[in-house]
Amino acid sequence: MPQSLPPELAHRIELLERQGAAQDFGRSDWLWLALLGAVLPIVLLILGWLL
Amino acid sequence: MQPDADKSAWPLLPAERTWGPWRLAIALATAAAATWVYLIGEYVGYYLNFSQGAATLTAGCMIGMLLVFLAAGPVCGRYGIDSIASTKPQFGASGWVIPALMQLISIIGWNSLLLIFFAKSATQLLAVLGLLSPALTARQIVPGATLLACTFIYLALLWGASGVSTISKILVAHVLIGLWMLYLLISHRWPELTAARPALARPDRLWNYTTGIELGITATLSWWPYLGAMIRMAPDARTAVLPVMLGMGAPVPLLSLIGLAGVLVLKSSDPAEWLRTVGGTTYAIVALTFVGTANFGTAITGIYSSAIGLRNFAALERTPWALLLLATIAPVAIIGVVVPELFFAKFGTFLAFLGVGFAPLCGIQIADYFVLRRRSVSLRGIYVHGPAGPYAYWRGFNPAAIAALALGCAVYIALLDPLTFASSAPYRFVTASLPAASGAAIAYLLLSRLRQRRRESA
Repeated sequence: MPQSLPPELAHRIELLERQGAAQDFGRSDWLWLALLGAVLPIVLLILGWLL
Repeated sequence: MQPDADKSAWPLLPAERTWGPWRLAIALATAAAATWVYLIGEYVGYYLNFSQGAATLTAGCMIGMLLVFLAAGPVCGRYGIDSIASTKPQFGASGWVIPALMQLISIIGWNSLLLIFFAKSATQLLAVLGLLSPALTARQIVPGATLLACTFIYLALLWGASGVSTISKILVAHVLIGLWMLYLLISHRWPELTAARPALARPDRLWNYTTGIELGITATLSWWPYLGAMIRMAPDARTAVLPVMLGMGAPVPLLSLIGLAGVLVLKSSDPAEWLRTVGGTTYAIVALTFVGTANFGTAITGIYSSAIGLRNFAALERTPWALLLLATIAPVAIIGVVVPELFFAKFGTFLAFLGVGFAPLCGIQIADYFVLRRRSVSLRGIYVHGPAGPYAYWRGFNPAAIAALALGCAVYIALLDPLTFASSAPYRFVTASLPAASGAAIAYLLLSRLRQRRRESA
């Protein structure tokens, strides 16, 4: 690498690279995100418009 | 855990990421549930009645929260980094200063608002307790209250993330107090509330409705700067899903209903002004105490996130935490003392400007992580600043991200002028934030592909 990292930071990154990054979202997480971030707003907007 | 890990912008190790879902949800709910929610409700109440305002605000806030979480959440959650560090793959090893500047302006603006609210609540509380000279007004108390608040925030944050968590556990009670205030208003004034008509509603029903959604989206888009510094304390992105969506996304619209109901029925969104009328002196004292102190929770999270963001500057990497905190809190203190009404008087414009900047930023991050990089980011590359690093681009700046951000801002302004709220025809069908985010995302992808092809052919 062209620019050396501080030793503590380099050590941290090495540890994390060795372990592998954690997963982001699983199937159930996507389901919650879709329900709360898309389905719920759409339902609310339809209901609100009809009121 | 290394003693200062949570006071740096370096990636946290799994052993240092100790916040479970409840702890994270409490910290996020406390950050979200400050008195700014009354202003958000007030602005929606100018255009919509109570039921439509409630529907659009909730929908808008949940959409905005989803955008923010999909933008910063995966990278911050996976690698234990803050929101600013998560922009380096898109904006470049030097270009991240653009989002950092946006973060700083947003947090200074919000915290100036909170401190004014705090001063107003303090004034009301002193008046209720009979401790205020009739000659004194909130305006005169603001400078002193601001300095007092900044000192308290500074002292709490000397403990880093644990200071945020400890204060949150106490101040989360504000959410319950807020719900109680909402119950009071609804139970005492329901007939008036259902009959109330918004003061500034336009003849175009769809425009009013879309503006309610837009205000909800932009309100939660401004959580982008706060999110990374909080969710990196949780073990992974999965742990953060429900705390973010329910702990941070839901309290904003719920408590905004207080401001919405207040402005519709009592012509004032600030419960500090009407609680004595509705609930009597005792209620007023209890509520005002919590309303005032609740702002600390958000201000503490904001200052902490901003300080962590500043740590990304190489020059500030080794600065003592106490000094860095001082540098972060100083602009808020100066604005609170010198020009306290700056952000307060133009709240709607400030909110719209947040949408102008953060909507395209979210679009770019989502497109980059899920489409362009297919969920793979180089952690080492985020911290390497040399010309051969993976995010070096052009002198550390990625022209594709900067151009896409500019285009997204232009799309927003073309649809909704944040200064005058004048809008063009498509706005009423599509809002301004969503096209700005998707426009920036598409532009970023196209420009990045173009750059890739050029490099391949060269």
